[in-house]
Amino acid sequence: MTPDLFTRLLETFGADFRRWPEAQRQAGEAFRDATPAALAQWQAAQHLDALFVLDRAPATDPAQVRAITDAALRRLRTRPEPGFDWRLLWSTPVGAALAASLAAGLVAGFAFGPNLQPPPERGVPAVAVLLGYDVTDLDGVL
Amino acid sequence: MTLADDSDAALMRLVAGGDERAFRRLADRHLDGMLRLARKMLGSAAGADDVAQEALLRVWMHAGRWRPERSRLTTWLYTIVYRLCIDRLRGQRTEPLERALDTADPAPGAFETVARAGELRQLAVALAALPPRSRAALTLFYYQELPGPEAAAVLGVSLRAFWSLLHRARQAIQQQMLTPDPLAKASEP
Repeated sequence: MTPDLFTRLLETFGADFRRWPEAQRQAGEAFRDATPAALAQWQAAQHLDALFVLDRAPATDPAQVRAITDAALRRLRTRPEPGFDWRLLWSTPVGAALAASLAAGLVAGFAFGPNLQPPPERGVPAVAVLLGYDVTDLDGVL
Repeated sequence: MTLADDSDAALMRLVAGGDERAFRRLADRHLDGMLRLARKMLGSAAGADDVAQEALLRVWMHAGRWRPERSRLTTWLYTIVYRLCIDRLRGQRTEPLERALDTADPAPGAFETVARAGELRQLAVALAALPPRSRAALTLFYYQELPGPEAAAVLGVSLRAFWSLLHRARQAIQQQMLTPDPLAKASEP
């Protein structure tokens, strides 16, 4: 045990050697007992540990625990029903397939959509081009 | 009527199925620890109550997501509380310090009591001045007495990083405790 290591361990784990890494406990105690400066450091650390203990809040009043639990349950009862959770789509094979086909449709729409624009002079409906209809047959229908 | 198996794992299974009694039993068992962590993190009792209530809501809604083979329930609960506190602290960095200073004077008594009260006030100020993650490290290890690996899991850091955080936090507290208490000086005749 070196003075630096002792200081570092003390500044991390405090004065209670039971908190120290097992491999360093005995060496730490021996170093404290053999070195006056280490003993003074250890006493200061012990003082801080005692303050941590004193600073702990008293146990929470059971009535307060009940009040917080009741308030949480009240909020649960009064909250609106959740809407459809789209994440559920991915949790089943059928749902995942549906979601994937929807996504593929959207991608295809964005990718090929511009190519389906009608020439301005003829006013061809995009759906007609896509389905290969004779445009003249659909004039006035679409 | 009693719950035959009241282990955390059994109660959480019941809570996941919507059992209010099991939920209350869990709250009775763990809310105190959750509140203590939130109080130290936020420096405010009212804020801690809100966080604890919100944490209970999350427990009810996501009980099925806790895996007993992966972590102790306290680790999972404290992680929820810690993250809610961090969310709450964002954008209000100076508040814990101001609240820490708002400590009531000790009742008139022996010099030692007054001196101890002064030290506790300094400790509160020093804690509040720590970055939230360091404050959480110190609180979990010294106040909640969580073992290092569990406290590291709550903060989502490696054990090595946790020891480093803890070292810096305790060092900062020691440093702060060595500086004179300004309020004690101000109240001197």
